[in-house]
Amino acid sequence: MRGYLLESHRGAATVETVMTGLEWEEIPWGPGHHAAARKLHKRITGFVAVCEDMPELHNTVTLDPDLKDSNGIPAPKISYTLSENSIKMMDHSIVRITEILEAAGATQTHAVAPIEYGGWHWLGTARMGTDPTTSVVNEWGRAHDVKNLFIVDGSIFVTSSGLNPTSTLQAMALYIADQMKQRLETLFD
Amino acid sequence: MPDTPLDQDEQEILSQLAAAIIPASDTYAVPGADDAQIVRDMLGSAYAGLAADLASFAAFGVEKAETFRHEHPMTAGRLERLVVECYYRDDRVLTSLGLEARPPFPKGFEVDQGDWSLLDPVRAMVPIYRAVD
Repeated sequence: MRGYLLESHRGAATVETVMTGLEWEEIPWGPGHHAAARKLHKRITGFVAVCEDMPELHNTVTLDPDLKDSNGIPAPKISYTLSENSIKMMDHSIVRITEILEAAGATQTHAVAPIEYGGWHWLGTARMGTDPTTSVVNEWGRAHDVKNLFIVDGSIFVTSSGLNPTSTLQAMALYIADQMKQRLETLFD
Repeated sequence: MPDTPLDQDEQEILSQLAAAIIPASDTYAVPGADDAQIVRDMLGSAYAGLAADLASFAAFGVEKAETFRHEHPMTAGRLERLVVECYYRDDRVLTSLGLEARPPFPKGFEVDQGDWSLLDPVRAMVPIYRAVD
């Protein structure tokens, strides 16, 4: 286990409240709709746990052997299975979040894990590291195998990080750009 | 009717579906989602594949709307979102919920102030973060 971030949300707006109520079957179709929707309106809030998924060899992105786009380029094939560690982190976070919400006066709680709709952070697969046998890019973003290839995006993360990753991505982009500038004379050696 | 990917029969099915999800209410003095103005909004907001989703609903019929909802949750979810998004931006509906019938931008909305003293213990805490050099 590495950890996770708990993110509290502001109250849901009207459409989101109703959609959530329908999904949870707290709001029915038909004559009971209005009373049920008004019961939830301005009374829903939520938390999200952003769990740090560890690098695992069984999770891969490869080229699909059959599926191609209209230009004949193979589609990516994503194989992903939640690890026992990630499942335990999610379960742990649900217990903590439920405690927080109940302490705040929640009369009803629902948990969805993992979320079906919403933000999954696509990170990893071209991890950064000093060892070419266990990583794709070096410590300043250049591919070990192709000297004039730099990868500057979320794929160089080693884990999924237990946070929203944009700030770190921006910092990595600035860092790698600065490294390229400083190493111009020997950049492709 | 505006330009729409739906023919007349499909528009009728959309109205039946909308009423099945959100009927009119005398208690709350609101129209149903099959109100002509709201249906026009739905037609203008139609998504690709709406006609196929409506055909799926029509195979069950209004009488078995609940069965359709439970046997085809993904399709029902797409239809629900279209109906709910258009219904809950109708001025009459927003007003009935005690909301101002306007978008938040550019004027914003007044936010009810909560009990800010709840943060006092947090403010009184010693720093739990590492200072940046």
